Amino acid sequence: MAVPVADEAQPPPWDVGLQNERTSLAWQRTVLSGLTWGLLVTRLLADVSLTLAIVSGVLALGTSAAFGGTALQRFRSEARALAVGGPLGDARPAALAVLLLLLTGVGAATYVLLA
Amino acid sequence: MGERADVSTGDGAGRGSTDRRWPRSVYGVGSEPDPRFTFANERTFLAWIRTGLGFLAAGVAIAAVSGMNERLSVEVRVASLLLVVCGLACGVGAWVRWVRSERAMREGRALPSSPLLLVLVGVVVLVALIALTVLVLA
Repeated sequence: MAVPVADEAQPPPWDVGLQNERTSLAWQRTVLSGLTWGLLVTRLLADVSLTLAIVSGVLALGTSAAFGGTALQRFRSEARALAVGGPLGDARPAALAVLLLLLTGVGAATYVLLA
Repeated sequence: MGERADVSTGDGAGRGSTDRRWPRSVYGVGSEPDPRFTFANERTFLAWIRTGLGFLAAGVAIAAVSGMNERLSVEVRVASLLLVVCGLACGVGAWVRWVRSERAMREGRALPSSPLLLVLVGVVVLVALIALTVLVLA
């Protein structure tokens, strides 16, 4: 696929292939996936320990809301960056997502070992 | 991969003078790749995160369902732990893969390969064999 280049007549399309929108949708899918699995685990844990279930539910809802807001903010800042030809966002949201996944995994392993 | 086109920075930023993006091990080398590739790298990273979430949920679900009426057997505990470890591996692998791919794109090199997928498939097959054993011997 040819990469559009700027010329004096008109600037290149500022979001070729709707990449920003597709990436934002990927963030939303990830947030929904986290929320769905989190609530499923919450429901399963409710049969084992009500305390664990409440903690799991609160964490799932809280982190989903936080990442949903982050995804929206990122979509807007990336759109601005594309429009002016500036640098795209960095990796902090991604690193936070990995950290949360690892913390969840440690919690899951603890549950499996102690159940 | 296609030709790598440098994104022109209209306001002069992003070429290292005021670029403070993290991590510096990625953004401090090479030059800005085509934004389409950066976005594609990010989407692939998120797909790995979703895969990791699925593995974690599967591990917890197996343990929770098996432990409802009776104490967990060793086989079930091992299978659950294997799935949880897969989830953790997906999280770490997602990050490592993102960093290496973004750096390769910035430096104009070929994208790196990873054995993570093969390892995950192997573990899933192992868990399925454990499940089969438990079902047959029950």
